[in-house]
Amino acid sequence: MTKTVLTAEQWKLAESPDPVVLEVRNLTKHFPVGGLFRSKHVHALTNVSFAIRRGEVLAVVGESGSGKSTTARLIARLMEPTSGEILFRGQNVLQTEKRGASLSYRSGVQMIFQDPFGSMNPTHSVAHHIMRPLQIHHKVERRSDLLPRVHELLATVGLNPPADIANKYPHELSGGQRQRVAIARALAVDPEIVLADEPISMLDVSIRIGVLNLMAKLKKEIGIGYLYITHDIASARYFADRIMVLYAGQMMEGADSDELIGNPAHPYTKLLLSAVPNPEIALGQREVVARGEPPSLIDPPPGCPFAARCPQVMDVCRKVMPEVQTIAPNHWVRCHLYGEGSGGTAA
Amino acid sequence: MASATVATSLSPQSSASSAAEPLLDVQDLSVEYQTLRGPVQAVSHVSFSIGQGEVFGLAGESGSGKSTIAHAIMRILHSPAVITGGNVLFDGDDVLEMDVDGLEAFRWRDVSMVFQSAMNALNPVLTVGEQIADVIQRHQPTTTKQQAKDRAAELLDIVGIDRNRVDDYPHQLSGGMRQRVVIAIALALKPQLMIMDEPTTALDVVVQKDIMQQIEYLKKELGFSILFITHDLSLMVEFSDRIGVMYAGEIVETTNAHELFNKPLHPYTQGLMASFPALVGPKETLTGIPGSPPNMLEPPSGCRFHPRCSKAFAPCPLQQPSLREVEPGHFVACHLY
Repeated sequence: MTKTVLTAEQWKLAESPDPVVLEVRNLTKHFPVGGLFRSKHVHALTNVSFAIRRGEVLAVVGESGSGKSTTARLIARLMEPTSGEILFRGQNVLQTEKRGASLSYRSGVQMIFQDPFGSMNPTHSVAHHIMRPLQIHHKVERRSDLLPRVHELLATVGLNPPADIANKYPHELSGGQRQRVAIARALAVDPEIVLADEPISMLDVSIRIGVLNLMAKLKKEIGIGYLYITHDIASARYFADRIMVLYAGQMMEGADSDELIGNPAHPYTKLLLSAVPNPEIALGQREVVARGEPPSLIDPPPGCPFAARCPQVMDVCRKVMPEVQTIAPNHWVRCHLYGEGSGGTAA
Repeated sequence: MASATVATSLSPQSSASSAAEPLLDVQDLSVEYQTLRGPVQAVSHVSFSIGQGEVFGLAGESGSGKSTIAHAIMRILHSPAVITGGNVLFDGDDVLEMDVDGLEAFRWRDVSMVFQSAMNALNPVLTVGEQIADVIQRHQPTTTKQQAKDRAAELLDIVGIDRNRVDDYPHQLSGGMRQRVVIAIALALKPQLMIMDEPTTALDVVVQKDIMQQIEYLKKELGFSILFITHDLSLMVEFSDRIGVMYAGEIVETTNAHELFNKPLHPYTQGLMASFPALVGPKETLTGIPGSPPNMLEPPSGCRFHPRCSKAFAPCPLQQPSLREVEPGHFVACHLY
């Protein structure tokens, strides 16, 4: 199998003074499916590599089934990868913490889920939800410091007055307020990385931006780095420093946000961008780049998974998955149209 | 499918369409949910009309009353929801006065509906062909089984699914294809009006675009009108001719799509527009709208938006503004105008 390691250098991470906090290399997850012998496998994620610096936002965009959430869940260590490495502060945690994540890893890497209704226990107050991590991770010295710290965290996420909110139960809060509580709960353990899996997609439209702005504020003020999982590429442009596009569990393209959206190279990225509703271009005037739907992930054939839909498909695409090619500073793509020996016309 | 080549010479039918007899005329509609904790005014005095071949969009957040209006038009509201006032005229007939037989004919033959995440509403133990044929045979009892099945295959073709999949079960189709089947069912009796309540919300953007283009193509070919309901303002502006923006059960602004996009007047509409990050153009810090939608058990006094409005002034908490035409064809309910 082709091994693709996208090194930190390929995104010129070395130039930044901020240290790399989290790096994953060749992260792969196959789920066994099928009959008695479980002989078939769903290739949910294949050889995904990236790094996140302190205070940086990397957005992972893609359609359902592209492997976005699997990526976050593997890093959160909610399940074990089939292969690959997860490096947190330079340590390969899959090697050093074989029996599950340590307390220090859990305090360094926190997760916010999509559904703010399902991620809280309806029988416990807001205060309880935030006290638990403070206690488990020994973040306060005295019991009497617990409640003041809870109030402080609630104020940080813009829930005022904190003393009132702390006494409420999840059902008394709106979706946006709950998601802010979820953020406060993640903040309680002083994380360096927050894995945010579609954190705003279930919220009312008028309050989504408020939650994104809050996350941006925490990035700036506390230096939290985010893995921002989303299907909404416009919100990725708004919030993220860099964007990576996944398709059928494979990395397709990555670049600084403006570069990726301004100069998309991969035909799939172009398709994704052309599908975003745009009030300034009527539907019928849109160029139709490609049609169809993502392929089955069960034991996929070799080659590029987008080949079946790609308008610029070549013979080689059905045989070999392209390597990572750097086509501009901080901009890489995996497509046979680019790089030496390619039959394409592109740069 | 030919939808890819549809030309868009669609001119917004603003006030011109209302001059002719509208296909659907909703007048002063009010709906209340009678809950144990008191009545909730889900829809208050809403009026709008939809012309022949027109797409009218109802935009708003969850709980703003969009879906309740759709259900009221179809007369499928259940207790504790009660229509407390107003008229719904379809082709001149009052839907709210219809008896059971009248409704049977009205539903699906005159007006059909595509529900939110309707793709999960297909019966898993019947083939998609059987489910389409069922609608046809129910409303046209003289149709034979074979005729209905042929028509089902034809309808699949129309919505962009291979007609050989007529014997497939829903689980054999992807989410996007199931949603197309639901649209085929809605088209089965060639209705004059189709109500689409968040038809693509559960789908990926690429599939969403495909389906919306298909609907636009079919609308031109078959000439039906659409009541289009979504919270996604970008999609709505792109797809609709005219739009009504709802907040807390009321229409606060209505005009044609381009005018609304280029010159929103109501502070709520402006706030909604400032809630969607753009894909192109300069990157601006968006503000969204502070606060959250009101608790409808105790709606705010006066203008229901005033607690969240940055431009609120003296009369706003006291007096409810009425919808007034501030520019030709552009109606706003706001004390600023």
